[in-house]
Amino acid sequence: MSESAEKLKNMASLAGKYLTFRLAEEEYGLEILKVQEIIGLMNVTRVPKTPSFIRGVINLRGKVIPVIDLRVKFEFDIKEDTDKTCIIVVQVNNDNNHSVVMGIIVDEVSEVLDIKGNQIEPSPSFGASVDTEFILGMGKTAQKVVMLLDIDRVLSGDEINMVGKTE
Amino acid sequence: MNLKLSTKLIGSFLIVAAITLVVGVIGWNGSVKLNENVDDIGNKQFPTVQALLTLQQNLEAYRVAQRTMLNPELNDNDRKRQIDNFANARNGYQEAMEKYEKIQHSDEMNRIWQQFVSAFDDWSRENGRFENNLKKLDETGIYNPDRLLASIEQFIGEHHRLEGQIASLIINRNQFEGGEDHTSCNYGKWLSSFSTNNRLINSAISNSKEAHAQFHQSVRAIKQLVNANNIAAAELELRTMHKHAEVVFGGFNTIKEQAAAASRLNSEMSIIAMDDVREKQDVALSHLRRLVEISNNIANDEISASVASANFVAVLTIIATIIGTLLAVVFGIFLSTSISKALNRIIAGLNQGSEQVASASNQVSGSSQQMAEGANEQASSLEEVSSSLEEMSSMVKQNADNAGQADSLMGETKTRVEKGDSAIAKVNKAIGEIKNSSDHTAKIVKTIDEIAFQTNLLALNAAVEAARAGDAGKGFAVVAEEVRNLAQRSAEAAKNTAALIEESQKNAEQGVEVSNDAAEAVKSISESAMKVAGLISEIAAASKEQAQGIEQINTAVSQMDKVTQGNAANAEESASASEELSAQARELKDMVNELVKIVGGSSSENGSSSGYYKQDMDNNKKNGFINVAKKSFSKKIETNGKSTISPVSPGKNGKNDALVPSKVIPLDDDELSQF
Repeated sequence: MSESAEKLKNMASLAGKYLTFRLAEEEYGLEILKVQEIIGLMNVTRVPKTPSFIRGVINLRGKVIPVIDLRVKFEFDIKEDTDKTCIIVVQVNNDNNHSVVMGIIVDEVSEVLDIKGNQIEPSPSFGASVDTEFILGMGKTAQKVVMLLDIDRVLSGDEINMVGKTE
Repeated sequence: MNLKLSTKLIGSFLIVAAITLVVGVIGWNGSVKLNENVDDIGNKQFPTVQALLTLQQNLEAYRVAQRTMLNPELNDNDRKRQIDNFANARNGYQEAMEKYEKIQHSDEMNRIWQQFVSAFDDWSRENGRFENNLKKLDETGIYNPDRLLASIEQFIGEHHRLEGQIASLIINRNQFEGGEDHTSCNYGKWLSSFSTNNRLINSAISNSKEAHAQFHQSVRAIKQLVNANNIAAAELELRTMHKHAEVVFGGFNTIKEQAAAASRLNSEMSIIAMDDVREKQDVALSHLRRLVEISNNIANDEISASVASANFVAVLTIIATIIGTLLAVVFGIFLSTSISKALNRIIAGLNQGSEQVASASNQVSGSSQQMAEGANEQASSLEEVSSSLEEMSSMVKQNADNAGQADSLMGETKTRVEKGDSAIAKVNKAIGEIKNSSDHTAKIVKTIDEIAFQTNLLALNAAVEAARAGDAGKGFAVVAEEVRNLAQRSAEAAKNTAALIEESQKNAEQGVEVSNDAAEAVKSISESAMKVAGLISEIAAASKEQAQGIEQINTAVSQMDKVTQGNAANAEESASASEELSAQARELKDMVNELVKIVGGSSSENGSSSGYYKQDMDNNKKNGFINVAKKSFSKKIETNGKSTISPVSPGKNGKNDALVPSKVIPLDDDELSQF
C-alpha cells in the first residue's frame, strides 16, 4: 500500500511539460528540460565500428555530437527517413552525473504537452524478464497514451560512455 | 585370309612337298647311318670275328692233331693223317692271320694282337720242338716203345726160362715140352710179323736171327741127346746154346735201348705237348678270345646302335608321316572348304543377285505400266485444268476492275484521316501546357509546406526555450503555441492545395493519354488505309500477273502434254530394257549353275532357280502387255498434240489394273527358246 502511494507521489512529481514525438505510430514524451533543441534532419556522418543504433555524428553549429536511431535502439522495423524526420538534441546524464549532448532521430515531432500529475500512471509490469525501467510512466491525454521516456535510461551507462567518447 | 586362290593352292602344295621332303630326308639319313653300321659290321667286325674264330679253330685243330700224335697205339695211316692235319691247321691259321691283318683295327685290338702274335710265336717255337722230336721218333720207327719193351722183356724172360729148363733137363732130367722150333716161340712169331725202318734194330735182328734159330736148334739137339743119354754131348751142346743165347740177348738189348730212346722221345713230346705247348697256346688263345670278345662287343655295340638308330628313324619317320599326313589332310580340308565356302557364298550371292535382277526387271515392268496409266490420267487432268483456266481468266479481270474502284476510294479516306490527326495533335499540346503549369503550382505548394514545417520546428524550439525560462517564459510559450498553430494551419492548407493540384495533374495526364490514344488510333487508321490502298493496287497488279500466269499455265499444260508423250515412250523403252535385264539375269543364272556344277557336282538348286524364270516367261506369254500399251499411248499422243485431251475410257484403265508387273515382258515361245 505504501509502495503504491509512494509511486503515486512519484507520478505526481513527474507532472510537467513534455516534448512529444512520434516513433512507429506511437507517441513518446521527453522531459522538456532534457531537450536542448529540435533540428531538421541533416547529413549524418557514419562512424566505423559503432553499434548499429548509432547512426553517426552531425556537426551542430561547430560541435560534433553523436546521433542515435531510436527505431534501431527500440528494435522496431527500419523505415526510410521522410520530410518530417527530425533530430531532437538532448542532454543525457551518465552514471558519473556527467552530461552528454546527443541527438535522437524520431519520425516526427508533435508538440509540447503539459501533463498533470493525475494524468500520469506508472509503467505496466510485464514480469521480471521485461525491462521497462526506461519508461517513467504513461501519460494519458484526451484520446491517446504518451509513453514518458527516461532518456537517461534509454541508453545504458556503458552505451552513454561509449557514445560520449565519440564526441 | 585374304590371299589369292593360286597363292593358297601353291602354298599348301609347297607345304605338303616340304613335309614329304622332310620325311624323305629323315628316312634317307637313317638308312645312310644304318648302312654305315651294317657296312662296318659286315666288312670289318664280321670278317674279324670270322678270322679270329678260324684262327682259334685251327690252333685247336693243331693241338688236337698234336695230342692225337701222342697216342702210341696210332697206326701209320692215322699218323699220316695227323701230319696232314698239322699242315692244314698251319695253313688255316696262317691264312686267318693274314686275313685278320688285312683289316684295320682299333688301337686296343692292335695292342692285344701284338701280344697274341708274341704268344703265338712262343707257341710256334714249342711246336717246332715238338715236330723235331716227332722227326726223331720217326727216325727210331718206334711209335709204341712200351709195348716193344714189354715184348722184348717177355722174349728175354722166355729164353732165360728155356735156358733154365735145359739146364734142369741136363742135370735133373726134367723133361719139358716145346722150345725146339725157333718160329713157334713168341719171339719167332713176333719177328715174322715185325717190321721197322730202324736201321739199328734191323741189323740187331738180322745179327741175332741166325743165333736165335741156332739157339732153338741147340735146345732140340740137347733134348735129343738127353733122351739118348748123351749128357756129355748135351753139355757140349749146352755151351753152343749159351753162345747163341748171348748173341740173341745182345740183339734184345739193342732193341731195348732203341725202345728206351723212343720212350724218352715220347715222354719228352708229351711233356712238350701237354705242358709247354698248352701253356703258350692258352696264352695265345686267351688273347684271341679277348680279341673276339672286343670285336663282338664292337659288333654288338654297333648292332644295338644301328637298331636304336633304325628304331629312332622308324619312329621319326612314322611321326613325320603322321604329321605330314595330318597337315596335308588339314590343308586339303581347309583349302577345299575355304575355296568351296567362298565359291558357295559367291554362288549364293550371284543366285540372289540374278533373282533380284529378275524381280527388279519385273518391278521395272510394273513401273512402266503404272507410268502408262499415269500418262493417261495426266492427259484427262490436263483437259480439266484447261477449262478451269478459262473461268479463272474472266474472274481475274473482274477482280482487277474492283481493285481500281477501291483504290480511288482509299485516296479520299487518306486525306480525311490526315485532318483528324492534326486536330488531335493540337489537343495534345494544350493538355501538355496545362500539366506543365500544374507542376509549377505543385512545386510552390511544396515550398509553402516546407516553410510551415520549419515554422513548426521554430515554434517548438521556442516552446522548449520558454519552458526552460520557467515562469518568465510563460507568455512566450503562449506566443510560440500560437505560432505553431498557424504553422500547422498553413501546412494543412498547403496539403489541401497539393491534393487538388495533384488531382488536376492526374487529369491532365489522363487527357494527354487519351489524346495520345486518339492520335495513335488515327495514325493506325491512316496506316491501315495506306496498307489497304497498297494491297488494292497490289491486287490489281496481281490480277494482271495472274492473267499472264494463266497464259503461261496454258503453255505449260501443252508442254506437259509433250512430256506425257515422252513418258509413254520412256515406259516402252524401260519395258524393253527390263526384258533385256530378265534375259541377262537368266544368262547369269545359267553361269551360276555351271559354277555350282564345277564346285559341288550336280546342283539341287538348279530346278528351283530356273522355275522362277519359267514362271515369268509363262506369264509373259499369256499377254503382250507392252504391245497393247504401246498402241494406246501412240493413240493418245496423236490426240494430245492439239491440247484437246480426249478423255480416256475408264473401262480400259480397269482392264489394265488387273495386270501383274511380271507380265510386262513380251516373249513368245520362239524368243524364249533362244535363252
